[in-house]
Amino acid sequence: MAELIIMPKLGFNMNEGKLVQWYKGEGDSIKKGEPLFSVETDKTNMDIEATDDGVVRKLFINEGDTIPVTLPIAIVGSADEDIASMEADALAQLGADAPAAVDAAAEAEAPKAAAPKAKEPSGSAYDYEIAVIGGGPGGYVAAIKAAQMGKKTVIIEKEHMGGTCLNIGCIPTKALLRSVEALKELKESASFGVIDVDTSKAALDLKKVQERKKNVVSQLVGGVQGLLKGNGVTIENGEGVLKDSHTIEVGGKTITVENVIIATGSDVKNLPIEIDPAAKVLTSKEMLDIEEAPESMVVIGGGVIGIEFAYFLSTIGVKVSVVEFLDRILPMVDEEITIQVTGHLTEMGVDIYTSAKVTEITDKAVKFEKDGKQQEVGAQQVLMAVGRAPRLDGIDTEALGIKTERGAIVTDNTLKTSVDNIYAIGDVNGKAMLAHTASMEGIVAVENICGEKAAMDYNKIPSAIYLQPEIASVGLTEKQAIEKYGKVNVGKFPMLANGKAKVAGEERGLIKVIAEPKYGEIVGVHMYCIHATDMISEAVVAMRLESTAEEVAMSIHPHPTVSEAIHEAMHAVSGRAIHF
Amino acid sequence: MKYLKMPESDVYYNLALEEYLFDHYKDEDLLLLWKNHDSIVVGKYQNVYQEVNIKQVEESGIPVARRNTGGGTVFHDKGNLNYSFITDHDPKTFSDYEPFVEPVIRALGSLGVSAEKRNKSDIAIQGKKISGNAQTIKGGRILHHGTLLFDADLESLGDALRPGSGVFSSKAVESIRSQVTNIKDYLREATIDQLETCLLKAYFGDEKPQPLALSDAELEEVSLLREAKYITWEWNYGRSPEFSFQKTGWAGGSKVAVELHVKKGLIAACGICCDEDLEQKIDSQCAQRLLVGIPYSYTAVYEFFSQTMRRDLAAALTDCFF
Repeated sequence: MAELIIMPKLGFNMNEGKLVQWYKGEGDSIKKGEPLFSVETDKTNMDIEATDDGVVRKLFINEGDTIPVTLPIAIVGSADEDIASMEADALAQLGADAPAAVDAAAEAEAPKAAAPKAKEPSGSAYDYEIAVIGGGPGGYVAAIKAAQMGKKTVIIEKEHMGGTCLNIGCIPTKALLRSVEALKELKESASFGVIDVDTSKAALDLKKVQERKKNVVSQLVGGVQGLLKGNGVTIENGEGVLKDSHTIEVGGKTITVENVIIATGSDVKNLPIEIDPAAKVLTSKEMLDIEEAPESMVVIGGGVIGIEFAYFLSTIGVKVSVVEFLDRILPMVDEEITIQVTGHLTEMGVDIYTSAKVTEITDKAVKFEKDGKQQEVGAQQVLMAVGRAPRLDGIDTEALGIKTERGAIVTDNTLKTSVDNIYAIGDVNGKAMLAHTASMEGIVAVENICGEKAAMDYNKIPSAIYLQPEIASVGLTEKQAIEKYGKVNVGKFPMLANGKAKVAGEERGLIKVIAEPKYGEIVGVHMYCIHATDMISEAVVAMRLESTAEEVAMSIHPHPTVSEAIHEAMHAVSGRAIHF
Repeated sequence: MKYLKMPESDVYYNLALEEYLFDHYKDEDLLLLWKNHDSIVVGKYQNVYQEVNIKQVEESGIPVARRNTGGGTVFHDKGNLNYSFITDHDPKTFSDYEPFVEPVIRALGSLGVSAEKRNKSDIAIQGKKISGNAQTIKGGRILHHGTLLFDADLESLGDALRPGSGVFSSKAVESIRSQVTNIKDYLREATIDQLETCLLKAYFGDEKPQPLALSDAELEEVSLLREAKYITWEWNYGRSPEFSFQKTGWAGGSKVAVELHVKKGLIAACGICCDEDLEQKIDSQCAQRLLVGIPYSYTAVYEFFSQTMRRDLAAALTDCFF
């Protein structure tokens, strides 16, 4: 009976294996216990032996191919057996995964085939068609897109793939917040009927939180590297220095490129004030690595980063004070939501000072000016979260003739800079400093390089803030909409009228939809509720398709879900919510 | 459990000895400690040409050796301590580095160094790699070995492991570059011998380690294995998986685009593209045909070109091939 040999799953975590060596060829005999092939994965290589005597009838993959575990790789049986149907099944399974057909005859022909035509030097004389400097969410997405569109691509990254987002931004912050969520759920579990658990002592072991975070980050970074390699992008490690519009120096090498995409990201900003060297001032980077909670913390900056950390610290028992320069925290979100969030944080014990200008940081306190008076708030540590500034390391914009404005590279909505073959995406162009903006900009830039017409629309970029409950918004706030259109139609729906929110036990918040008066087109959606960050995409799509609130209201939203609140808010725009 | 401190520092001999012990001593647990003279050691399924600077390696004469385990390329010198552990393979596990790496971390701990396992198979101190590990499993036995950068010359390491600026395409296993550091930098005062002693203590505990001694006949077999396999060009270079190479460079005032297909270390197909002037001088059409079958070696390609043109042009042209 012929045996179908598969790529073995040798370990729990093994998802794919690289077939590094065939010990036998098609037509060779093999004895039980003789090694048939060798597999390598994660630097471990193992010989796999034949389980029975037989003849190797068919090999489905080549040496060097990597294939997911359990897929067929060979058939071993007796010399004269009919293996046609087993072979057909196997090929069907391999389907899209089948590497180039193993054709022994064709293999032998290869060396005699016409010498490969080297590329003509004049014309595509460059080492690469597209070079991406920076491997964050803007850079790596651009590189993958470029490779998919058939361009010879190189990506240059001096630290870790995934950039700030994966390593010292979005992902680690959310990992920390997830741990806090777990603690919160545990502490509230009694109200859901959980007994015999002493939650009074429950706390977060920050060292373990960090371990989980590091694990998540390294898996994602590895994933990005895998994607880049899998798409055939060349990776260069080191700081890329743009010598001229077609030359980049990295790691001692010089490479020539046809098009450049600058994706070097941004750095934390610091306030130009006096800071006592003995004061313990952290930026978000150090905050993400904390293993011991301080007793008290002053957070300078009431934007997304500042508020997320304020929430995190307050939940683990730190006394937090927030000092914000503008007249409210979270200025990008609708005013009504800011008021509710401010209330929630104040309930948690966070002190919030708005319209406050920080003047000095001593080793014991943060001094600020508010309502014409000098005030100060004491704290053990200080978190500086006043924003980020574009990073231009390795890019001498003046020498290269790249126009900048207030430290950011100037781009049009195709991401082109003032130099024809140079594009700039992500935080470095300072337009909307969010990872998803960078990724979309990367795709638009590459499409333009490839001759397709594509442009960025900066009016429909969602933002997401990960407190509990979450905040998400896209488009104009009510105030901005009134300024633009005069009168607007607003539909609101409070979460305490939503069944699923009640079942979940988190009824805080509301959903607010703003529509312009002429066509009823949705111009802004703001959510403060559980699952907000996962639900905002519906609003983004609706706005992109220029939908009216009416049209969304005519789309059935499943019950029971929190998204019904969006549905109701859409009805409410024309004054006809059913459940409120 | 027995242990052997390998007496020689010839990388080819030591790899042969390790393989011999792995294949023949099936009933005991073995711990081997060894150091090599300056050498570069590539993983079993790697493409040597993609991992090292061939020109530099040929000019400096530094030995390149291919080992029997998977993984990437490492640089050995007297400041690097290698350890190998041979034991039965538990069929329920695969690619499990923890039990092998843990005693090493303990040994370092006893010297006052706080090290941690990183990226599945590395050991690092404060995020910088000091030990790379690899394994091979055969016939129910597992060989796990690793390097320990005690006091290695990290500068030379960087230089030798940097190939030129061409583009390689192959299905070979690629190395993962990491930031490296030396263990010695984290100790107040210690020698590589003390590290050895601590490793023995971590593996043997309070038992006196039993040394392993091979007979003359066995040692003879090891020498033969070294001659027949480890020292051969066929094993070290020829075993590289087939690959393509592309590079654009300059020679004789013209841009030169080279495309090669290399199989078993020999040039299997070659394409040279340059402007007309240079094409006349070097007869690139003819060169393309004649280069087939020549080893993909800097020396060999340079010799080939210097037969028909000035040395400086031959050198510039050869540079386009690597």
